[in-house]
Amino acid sequence: LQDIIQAYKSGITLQGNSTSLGRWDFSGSFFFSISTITTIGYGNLSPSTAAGRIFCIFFALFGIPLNLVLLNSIGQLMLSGVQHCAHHLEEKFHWQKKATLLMRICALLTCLLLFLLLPPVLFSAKEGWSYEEGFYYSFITLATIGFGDYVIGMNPDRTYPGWYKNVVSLWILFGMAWLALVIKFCINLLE
Amino acid sequence: MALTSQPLQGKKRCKKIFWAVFPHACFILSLVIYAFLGALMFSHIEGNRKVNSSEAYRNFLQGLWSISKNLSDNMTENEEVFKEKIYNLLGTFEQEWFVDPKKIWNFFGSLFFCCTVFTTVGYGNTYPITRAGKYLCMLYALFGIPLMFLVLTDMGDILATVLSKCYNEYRKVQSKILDSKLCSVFMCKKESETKSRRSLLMKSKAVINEPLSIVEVLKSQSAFKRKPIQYRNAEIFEMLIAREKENTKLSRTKSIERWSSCPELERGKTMTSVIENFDKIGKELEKLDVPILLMILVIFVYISCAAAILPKWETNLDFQEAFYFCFITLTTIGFGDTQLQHPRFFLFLSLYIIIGMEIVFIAFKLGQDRLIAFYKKVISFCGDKKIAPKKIYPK
Repeated sequence: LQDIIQAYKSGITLQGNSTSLGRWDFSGSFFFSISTITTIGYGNLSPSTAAGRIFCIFFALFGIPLNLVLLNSIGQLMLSGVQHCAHHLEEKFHWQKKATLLMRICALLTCLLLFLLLPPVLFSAKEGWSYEEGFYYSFITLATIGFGDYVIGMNPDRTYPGWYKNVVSLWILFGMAWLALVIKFCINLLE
Repeated sequence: MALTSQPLQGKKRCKKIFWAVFPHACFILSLVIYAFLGALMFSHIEGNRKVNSSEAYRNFLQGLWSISKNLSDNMTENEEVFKEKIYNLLGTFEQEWFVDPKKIWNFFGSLFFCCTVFTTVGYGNTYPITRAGKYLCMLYALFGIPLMFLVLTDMGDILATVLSKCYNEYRKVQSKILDSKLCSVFMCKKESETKSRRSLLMKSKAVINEPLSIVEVLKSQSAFKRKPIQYRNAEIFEMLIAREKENTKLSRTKSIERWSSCPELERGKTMTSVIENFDKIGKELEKLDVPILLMILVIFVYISCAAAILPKWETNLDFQEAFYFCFITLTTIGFGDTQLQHPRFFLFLSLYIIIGMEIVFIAFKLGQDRLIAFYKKVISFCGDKKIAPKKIYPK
């Protein structure tokens, strides 16, 4: 029985009829590239040819620093946006120091809601997971651990709307930038 | 008097060494304890999972049985039909039916799992199935990942110092050879030697010790030299502003320095230097300036070493596959497509893995800096192009 299962696992790439994220067409490969350069690495799809692996190594070597630069810039953008709003609030209501603290707490809560508490609702609607499983998936993805036990878009019985993958990719990007920012803040607070 | 002060000096030195090594050892020890604790917890929670044969499992087995029963004797006909049916059936397969939790989640298995969590590699060959296990996993990752990050940054300082010292030694030797060649031709021996020695000393100072002035440091860094002149001023300006912002933080450490100069607090000096060292974590890493190709070469050599010895006990991996596996692990991507037969032996290489992740981390940091410099160049190039045609109009 184990042999059959092993054969199935290696043979899945040969059969068609699976979901678009489980095959090496454009969207599947795009999702694979994202999971590589963000170092999440789900493993639902991975190169098996020698040439593919060598390319993957070089791709990761250039892609990971690029991704880090992108995350840093997005983080800076978000931070400057928050500071801008805090500045406006200060001018309008003359609150001085309280405004920045309030703004920061507000931003933290909204981002927490947007990146960690709302996506599981989307996942439970589209993937049929429970809220807990969706939350577990979001956390494991944003922490870049990426076990691969839960992966979006891998269920062949479900149809996914066109915007689904793109929205999830955007979520991964901004969520990771936000998380990196939060960790930086925590480290600064500890010092 | 000289005789009595000698054993005192020896004691002092031992104390110094101890307090120098202590913080680093502290971090690593706390990480190890964290890993062991996690292994105990997970092996308890997941190992004691009740395996109940679910409805889906029984249906799966029945389906398999009926398929094999209905196969005819004709081999070529069988293949297509068999493939189709088996494919549909195996779509309902769940890994948890066929694994014995006690075997997989024994102490070493859980330890391996914990390592994949806090290093964020996350292979996925073992993952928590129970609800409590999942929540514990998230909590464990929340505290474990920053701890791992702290250990990495701390050890990264040491590695960065070692790397820059080696690199500087190499450059010294290189320029000495060049000098000796030049001097034999131009006969300006003393001048060039002292010049090169001074510039090299400045370089080594800049890379290892606290910089005395930003402009000096920047001018000696080779990466900086490659940039055009307009850029240098802008960068110096930016760095000066950044330093001004830092000065407000520095005032706190300055107060510690003041009391360490008081002779009565000599005893407290070691503690303050330890506390100061905690603040300096990560500073060495930021100052590293080694060419990135060298780093990539170091990475490839490092991975090749492991890839050469790994197939000795993992018999189904050849060199190329072991190389790919090590690379994917050290960059913390961790697909999990390569299954290890003996994960325990891989744990023994944990020191190798930490140092490898260090090196990769440093290389990525350097890559980031180079990328940013490259983008700035491109943007300024485009910007210059835009300004040039405008200049024609005022005529």
